[in-house]
Amino acid sequence: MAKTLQQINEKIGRGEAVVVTAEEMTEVVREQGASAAAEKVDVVTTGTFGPMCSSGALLNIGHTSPRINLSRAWLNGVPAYCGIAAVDLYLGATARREGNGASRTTDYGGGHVIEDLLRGREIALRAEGHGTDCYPLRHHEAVLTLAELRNATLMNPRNCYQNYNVAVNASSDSPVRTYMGTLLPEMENAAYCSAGQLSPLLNDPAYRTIGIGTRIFLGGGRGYVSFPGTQHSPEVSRSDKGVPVEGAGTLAVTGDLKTMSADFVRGVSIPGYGVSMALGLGIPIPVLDEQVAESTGVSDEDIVAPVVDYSRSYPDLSGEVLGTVSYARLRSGTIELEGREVRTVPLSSYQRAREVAEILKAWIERGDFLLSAPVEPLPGVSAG
Amino acid sequence: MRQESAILGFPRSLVGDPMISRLLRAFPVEVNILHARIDQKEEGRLFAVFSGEDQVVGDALDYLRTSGVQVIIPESDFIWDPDLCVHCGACAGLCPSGAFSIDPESFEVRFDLGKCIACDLCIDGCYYGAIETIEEYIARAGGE
Repeated sequence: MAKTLQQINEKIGRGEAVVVTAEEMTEVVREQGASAAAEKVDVVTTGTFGPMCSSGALLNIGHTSPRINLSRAWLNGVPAYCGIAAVDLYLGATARREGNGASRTTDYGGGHVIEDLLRGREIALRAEGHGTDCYPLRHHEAVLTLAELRNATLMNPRNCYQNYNVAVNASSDSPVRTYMGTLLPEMENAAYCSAGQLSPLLNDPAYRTIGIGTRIFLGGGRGYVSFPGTQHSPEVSRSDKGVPVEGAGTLAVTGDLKTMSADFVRGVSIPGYGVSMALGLGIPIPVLDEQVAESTGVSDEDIVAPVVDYSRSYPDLSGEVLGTVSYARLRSGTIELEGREVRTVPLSSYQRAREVAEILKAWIERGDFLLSAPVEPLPGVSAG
Repeated sequence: MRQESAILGFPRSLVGDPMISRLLRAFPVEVNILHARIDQKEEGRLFAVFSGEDQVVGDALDYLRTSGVQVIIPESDFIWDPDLCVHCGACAGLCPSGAFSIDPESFEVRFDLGKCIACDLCIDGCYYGAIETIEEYIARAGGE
């Protein structure tokens, strides 16, 4: 029997909704079947935690006296984009501190500034102004904290990739240093980055319930899906069950940074590559019918990822894939590639992904978080 | 039997002396050297596991102390800071000795100091700055 979103929200309001994590749902569907699972379960919570480079914060520093129209600005030495209104600036997660040496301990960037803001730390602002009749100030220095910022909004153009590459180095000579970590020659290790069966879009492969306007767990606070993410690619190859076998859908998300926590928003430093930000993100899925139950019952055995050579195919964009491997194998610690055992290096934290799904579950069980219907669907498989 | 992981700091004046040879001749103790380095200030650092009878290991470490060697027995926060760790497990995918591992049930990262060979492979592999070198550990935790 199909349920409506409104019926599910009414059950949440009465404290009667049955909420399980995507990991628990996999067991429920495996043991009882999709039909019984659809009867029993009202909401499935998903979660993911990993580096998501296309992230950043829109900050409004408040007007100065005299006024300034920012032309250039640095937060703890990290440049922010000022080509918007007078005291608005956008701090990108991968912006690097200027004059930064290559040393590991000094790698610091936009993601670290955002984490430091969340930890309540003081941030040094240095700014230059255009100097106009209405905004005369040309130089400004201040110490800022998150509480003092007039607005701080996390605005991420692309997060939550639906599946991702497994990175190896098939060259015979030297290690390659990538955003997927250091990859050893002759495919001695393989790096992967997805929460697999817990990952939001892998539990809603055709974007039936997740769309523009969906309320989500974002960085420990609340946020929204604001648009399809950049590079959203619904038309990629899919398995018999409709699960993409490579990177596919993505989400643009937005939320109030002041509601978030450094437990789920972390600056990251990647040797030989640069800086970025890791983020925890979770989305509840209303179990409207048997089809949704079936999709949320997906397991790591059913989800496969393409193995890509980051010494050649990736930089050249050749599109060559060395093979496919399941997340169940990846998570076991070793995979088999060309007849050899290869160690796997996880970059996405399954433990944190599970924590995100558990927190979201607790919020819904307490009646603190209601589900929302999309205002518009994401571009889907047939829509292109 | 007692087994003790220790960091030894050799001041410049002792770097030229064969301290471990002397120690081995004086005490029936096993020393497994995992990491040794002389820095730009010509001070030496050595990370080793000492094993033998309880009394003998204690006496051997005391011998080093009285010879002017700094002996640091690492605390549980050695190298790995669980507060900064996000439990992605990248370290476990790189660690050659099994000191870092992922618990198969909780998916939390575990660190076993007794298995650490101080190869430093995990350090670049940690995006979150949750793993430090022996030198950084000493700078933070200080001496005894």
